[in-house]
Amino acid sequence: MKFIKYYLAPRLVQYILVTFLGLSAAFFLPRILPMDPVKQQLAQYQAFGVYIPPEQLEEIVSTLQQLYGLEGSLSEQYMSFWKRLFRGDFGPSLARYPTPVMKVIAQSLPWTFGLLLLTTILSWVVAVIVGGIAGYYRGRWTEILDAIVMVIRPIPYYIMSLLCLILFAYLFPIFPLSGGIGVGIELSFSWETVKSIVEHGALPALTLLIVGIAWQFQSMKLIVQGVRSEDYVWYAKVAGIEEQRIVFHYVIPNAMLPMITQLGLQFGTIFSGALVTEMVFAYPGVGWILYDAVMRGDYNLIMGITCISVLAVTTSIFLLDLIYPLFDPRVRYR
Amino acid sequence: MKKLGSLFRDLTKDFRFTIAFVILLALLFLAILSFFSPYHPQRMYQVPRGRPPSWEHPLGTNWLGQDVFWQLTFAVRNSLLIAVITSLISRIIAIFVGMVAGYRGGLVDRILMIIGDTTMVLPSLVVLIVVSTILREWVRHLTNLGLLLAFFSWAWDARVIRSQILSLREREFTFVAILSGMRTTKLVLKQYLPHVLPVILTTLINNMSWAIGMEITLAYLGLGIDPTVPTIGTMLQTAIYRQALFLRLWWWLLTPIITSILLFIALYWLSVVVSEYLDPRTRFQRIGLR
Amino acid sequence: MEKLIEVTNLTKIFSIGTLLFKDKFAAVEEVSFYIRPAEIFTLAGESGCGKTTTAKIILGFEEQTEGEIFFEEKSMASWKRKSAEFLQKVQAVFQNPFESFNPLRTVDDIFLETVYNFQMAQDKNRATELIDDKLKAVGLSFQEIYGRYPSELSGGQLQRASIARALITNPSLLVADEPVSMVDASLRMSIVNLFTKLRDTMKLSILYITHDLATAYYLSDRIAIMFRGNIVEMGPSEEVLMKPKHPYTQLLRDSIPEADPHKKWKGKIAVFDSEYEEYLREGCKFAGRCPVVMEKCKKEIPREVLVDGILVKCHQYSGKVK
Repeated sequence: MKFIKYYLAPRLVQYILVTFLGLSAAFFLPRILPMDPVKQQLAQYQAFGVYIPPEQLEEIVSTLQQLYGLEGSLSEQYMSFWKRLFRGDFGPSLARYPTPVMKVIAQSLPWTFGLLLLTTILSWVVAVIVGGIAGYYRGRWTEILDAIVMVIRPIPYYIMSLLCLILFAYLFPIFPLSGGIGVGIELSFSWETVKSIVEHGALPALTLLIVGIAWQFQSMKLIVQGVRSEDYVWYAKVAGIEEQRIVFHYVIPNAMLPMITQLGLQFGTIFSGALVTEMVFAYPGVGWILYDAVMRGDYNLIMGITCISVLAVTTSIFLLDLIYPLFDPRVRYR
Repeated sequence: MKKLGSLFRDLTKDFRFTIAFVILLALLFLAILSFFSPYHPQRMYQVPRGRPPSWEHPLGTNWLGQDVFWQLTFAVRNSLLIAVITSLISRIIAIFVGMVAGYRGGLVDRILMIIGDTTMVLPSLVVLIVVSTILREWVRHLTNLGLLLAFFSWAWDARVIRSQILSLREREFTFVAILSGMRTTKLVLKQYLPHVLPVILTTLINNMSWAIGMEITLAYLGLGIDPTVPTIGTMLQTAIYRQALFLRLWWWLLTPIITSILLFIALYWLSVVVSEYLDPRTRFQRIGLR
Repeated sequence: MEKLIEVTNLTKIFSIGTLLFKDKFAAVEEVSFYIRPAEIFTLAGESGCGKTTTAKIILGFEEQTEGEIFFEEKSMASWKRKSAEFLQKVQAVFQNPFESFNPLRTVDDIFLETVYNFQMAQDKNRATELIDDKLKAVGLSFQEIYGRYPSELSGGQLQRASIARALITNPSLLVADEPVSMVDASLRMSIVNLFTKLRDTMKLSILYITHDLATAYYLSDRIAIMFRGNIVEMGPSEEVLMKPKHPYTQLLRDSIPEADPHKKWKGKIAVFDSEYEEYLREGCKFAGRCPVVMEKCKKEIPREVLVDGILVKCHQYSGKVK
């Protein structure tokens, strides 16, 4: 009961608060800014030479307003925004009219989700283990690893994916250039489908893995170096516990705690990075959809993706907060 | 001055610093060169197109008839400019917010931190895209983009500064300072700032890296700066868009990529060296090794 | 003036917990005492008994939940907290000399600050002279500290510098929170002697806070023993320390080891309640450890009574009111 009181409740409140603020910001941002999407749309029509008879102008304007969710006063819009949010209704996608935005997002979400989940977990686990060992022991190979990470780490997702693209899909065409699955292959559990998915997903996954491991390896190593000099490690050594046990049962579990918290803080970045990678590889996840939406001026879709992204990130952080006590007994037994 | 000299010598003992410093110096040199460019950065077809590197055109020319080398000088200048603007503005905001939140505490602190947390948690890329799409005209200007990017990067530092201030506030020398009659603002600025500056320096460099990365990403999407204005991002984007790869004009594509990688590595190594130097724990390691 | 500073029914309640749920405990409870001019008054007790909190409240770093403070027989409401008038007369010295100075600034920096903020001198020369004066009084000189960072000086030098800084404004009350516990033995005596000298020559009153009864006995005129936020015994130090009445004071006195190898330590080890529980206890807070505890003690808070001129808070005496 204490646990819920002191740990769960404040985080739940924070989660709801931040999500609420984030979504409200998403709502207000376009409305505060001095651009009117309706006017922009109308201007575009005129630029294309479309003739709009003046009697129909009002109707068109109000239809557009409905489409964009801009009708009524600000507070009315705000209310309807939230109402529709709960229903999952973001309106129709303007570029793929009349497919509802939600459907478009729902189709692309699994791709992103799969990619992200797999690479995040994998890179975190690898980084924790390798970083833990590297941070604890010293040796030639740790310095080599260090040097490699030194060069890789500062490279942002975009450049890294470009590099992977050029290297492994262009110069040495091992992997396909783009897409999530081969053209014409149906989604089923056949070997062909799976093989195609893996082939296409390999490069984006590779990019995310490389960048992710580089970042987290370095953090873990630093943390472990700090933990290594703690008194309880020294005490364990003096008590005669063998080093391997010390590393895996004392040092790494303690170092994992700040790593988990860090992971939560990095979610925004990792998510954005995944989106960028998808854009480069034309991988059919949320990132690619977003890119497409931007190119085609699909306002509703952009809004929808923004809201879903905010939700995704805050929820992931909250879930991580829930898992944290499994690793940190101090929180459990308070 | 003497102190700076010995500081410099100390730092150069680390090869990472030397390399990073050299790279940055070279890039700075390029940026300054841009003022002497014989070609206008935005005009096209000033030179024969698609020529490989030669004496006349050290990095070749691109398909739009521009000299790649001189384009690069402008690109470096503009990208560095964005980076500096972003990081300076965000540091100032962070210092202000962090100090107020840390020293005042209470409701002000809570509100500021919640606002900061929200900016951190939101996937910055997505929001940047949204804003850039809607504010297309406004974002075209360098300074405005810098401002926008700064909006997303102050929160982390503000938190760090705040927690430092929180602990400094409880230390005995704070009490002594109050007993010595120091007023709040003066106390915070004179007594706390020296403690806070080292961290800020490190994050400033990191922030510059991030800002350039963001600029590049936004340019790829066709958002952000006016694409005819050369920055590392727009150079890259134009090269890709104009099929540099298929035209086999590899120098056009590689220049921005390699420059950006060098820039990122240099900035990163610089920040690592600086933070290691300032961290009292690693200082002992270095002294021991020498 | 009869009482330089008087504290009545001072109470400070802290709450711990999160936004939604809180627990409360009283760090300082109904504490009352006064200090006369040119008097050294000791507040003694084990760690965590509330003495530092009391000092912080007096200095204005914490707000009391209840109770009044009168300085120079005027209520604190009329002095503005942390105002120049108040701070000129009340200064403090803290336990850790290395913490008392900002490690990133030179030592003389804070001296100059004090001088200028209280307008004790107009120009640098006069200021330096003034500072040098005070430093000489504690056995240092301006040369020694000028341009030096705290890490370049020893603990003894820093602590003396601390005292010198506190004396710049010629205060009438010095709050000294464990000023000698982090200083080595020889220096300890010289600082303690310095305090005595200051009381006699400058008519300085000192609120001496400590857990070390030996220096307390040597130094102070009157003493109050605190336990878990309450004053359990108070009076002239000779009386209180030589003939303690409250079981806690007796316990304290008995725990001072004597340097005689033939006298064995006869104390029994008892397991105490946690600090947290002791603070939240109803009735007398000492009931968990008291060797002569009665049933009454666990339920009722003892009243304070005067026994032979000594204030005691214990059920043993609350029957015999004089």
